[in-house]
Amino acid sequence: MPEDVTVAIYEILRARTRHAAPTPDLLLGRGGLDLDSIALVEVLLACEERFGVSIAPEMFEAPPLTIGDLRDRIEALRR
Amino acid sequence: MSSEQESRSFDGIGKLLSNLAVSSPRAAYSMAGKLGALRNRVTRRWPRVDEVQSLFPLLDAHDAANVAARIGALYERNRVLVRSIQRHGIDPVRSFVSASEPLASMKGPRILATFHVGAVNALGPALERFASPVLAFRQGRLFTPRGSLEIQSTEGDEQRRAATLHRALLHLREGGIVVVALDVVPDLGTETQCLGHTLRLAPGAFALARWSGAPIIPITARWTADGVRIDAGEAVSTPDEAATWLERYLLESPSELTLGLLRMLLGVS
Repeated sequence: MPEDVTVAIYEILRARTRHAAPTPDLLLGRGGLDLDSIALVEVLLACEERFGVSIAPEMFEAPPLTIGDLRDRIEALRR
Repeated sequence: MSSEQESRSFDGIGKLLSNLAVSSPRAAYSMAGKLGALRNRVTRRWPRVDEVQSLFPLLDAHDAANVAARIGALYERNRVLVRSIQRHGIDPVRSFVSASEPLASMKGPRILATFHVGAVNALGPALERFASPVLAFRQGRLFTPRGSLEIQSTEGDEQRRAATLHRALLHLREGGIVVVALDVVPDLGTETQCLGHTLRLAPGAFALARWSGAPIIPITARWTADGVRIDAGEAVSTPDEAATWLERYLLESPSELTLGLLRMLLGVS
């Protein structure tokens, strides 16, 4: 059975943030989980390893990313 | 002469020298050094002798005054250099910047770490001639590079900086060389000690080294009689090792300290 991407992302984030209840609309950076640049790249690297995908650096050049945006990118790459 | 008049006089000469640097760089930078040293001796600041002694307490007043004058000389040379690049481009600088052979032929993946010492703004032309592709990060763009060098800005929010870091990581994984400044971090940064004072170092280079396995090599640019020479130091792997390396370098060559780094170490604006 394919892994639930949202649940896996929450697991990855839980190791890096003390936010009690992350939701898909929560920003990864400022005003949300407040991950700094190094933590953001670490999340990306953990997702790449977990899902076997390769994420382009352009992802971070988009408007402020939410957890849902990250999930959507990964799901699109897995298709 | 008032302080304002004196400042205008020195600045005026500095502007003339930045024009002269296009046709006669050696003469212009030599005169800039003399001007900076004179300015320091006359004004007794930029930097003050007691500021130098605060960082190098083993220097007596006479030696500290000489170091202060040489730091003043470095400040003026660098100011003329930056002004000349802004006004006339990087081409005139390319003729007098050289890198040691082991450095220029260095293959990636490597992280070259700079500090605000010596002629840090003259590094670019040497990096253009490296054998491996070089991705350098700096705040703001000073010139348009050519050859194997690409320059990217470090400005922006955390997400933008994450994109920059990710690009750097991919560049290293492809066997490239990444150049980052380790010091002069305004607020955030990993706290270390250098010359008895707090030094905050940018953590990005150390994260890149951890993720990629690439070594961090300190590099320096130094004014010489013939121009600017770029050299590499021994690899460092932690912020404390980098601070220790910088401290050793400055203890051996205190007049390579720039005013920017001096002020940061002393916590003055």
